Amino acid sequence: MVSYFGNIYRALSTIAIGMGQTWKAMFRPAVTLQYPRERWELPVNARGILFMNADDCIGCNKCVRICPVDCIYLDAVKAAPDEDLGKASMGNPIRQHVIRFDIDMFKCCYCSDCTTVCPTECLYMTDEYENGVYSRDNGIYHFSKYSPEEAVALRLREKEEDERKAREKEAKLAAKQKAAEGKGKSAVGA
Amino acid sequence: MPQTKQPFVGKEKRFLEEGKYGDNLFITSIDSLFSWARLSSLWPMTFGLACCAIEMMATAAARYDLDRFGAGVMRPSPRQTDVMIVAGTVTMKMADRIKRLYDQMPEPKYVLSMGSCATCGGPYWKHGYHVLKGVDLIVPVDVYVTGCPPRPEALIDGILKIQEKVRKESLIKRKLQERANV
Repeated sequence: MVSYFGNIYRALSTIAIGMGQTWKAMFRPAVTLQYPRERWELPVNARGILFMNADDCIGCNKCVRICPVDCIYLDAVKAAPDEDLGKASMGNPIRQHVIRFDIDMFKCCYCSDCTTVCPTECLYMTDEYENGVYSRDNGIYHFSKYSPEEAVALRLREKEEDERKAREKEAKLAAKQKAAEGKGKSAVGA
Repeated sequence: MPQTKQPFVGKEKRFLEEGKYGDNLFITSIDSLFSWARLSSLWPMTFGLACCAIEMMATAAARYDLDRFGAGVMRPSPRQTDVMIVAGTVTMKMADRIKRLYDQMPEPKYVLSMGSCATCGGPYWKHGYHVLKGVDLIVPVDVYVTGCPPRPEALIDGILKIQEKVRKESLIKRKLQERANV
């Protein structure tokens, strides 16, 4: 008999405790973030999508080498001797045309190594994070300031320059050999 | 002499011909109703494979509350779901399970590839002998979300993008197309 009333008391009291919790929760301010309308204020060093300031890049290749997942693709062409490309904002002279600077944000693992090694600090992480895309290729960002046609022209120029240098070197070598042969002949003749 | 099949006769043919002259009032209003109903209850299948799953749980929890978009009902069974959130590294062993579960989902179905690993192999894309380099190699992916892992907001953004896609789709037109192709 005692256990019967005891059970009833326990049932009622536990229900009261539970309902008390619910009652308290009803007057607590909600913690939900109404996302598309409001968002958290991110910390200063938040890591988002990478961005490269194409005017300051000197094509030093440091970010490519340090990237642990190889998500940065950089191609650079040497400037001609009489060409002045100016200086980056930190004072480093620019000696190369950066004809290709692509970052595959899908491969990126947001380690921020590339931003620390960048000598001109032109590569940095923005606080953007929402970039859902419908196509895989839209995750690859192209930062170079050269158009594909310009890039091809620059590449061709570099190739021609290399060939010209190789020809000159060959000609020099041939002349040297000829001179040596002539010397040898004259020596034999004497 | 093989019998030539005449697929559209009578009513069906008239219905199809009606569709030829652009969207009519009946089809568009029914369509928008269907799309609205579908996009407001995108039930995701939990495919927590790695650390992205933690962010997915955070998205479903009180702070971000994926249920505000009707997408918070995480189902363990593929037969009750509309969208598959592939969250994490897809190993070779898991790949054929993903394919099988995707095939078990009822049409129309959508796939959201969450994070680097699911999209292209992530940090393992070069030397990971055991990792599938992108879940789009086995199932068609509708929305890719970048991040390693993505913030919960980014996942919500991906869900919203899928909703936009659903809003633009027309189920009736698709059905008619399927019938016309038979």
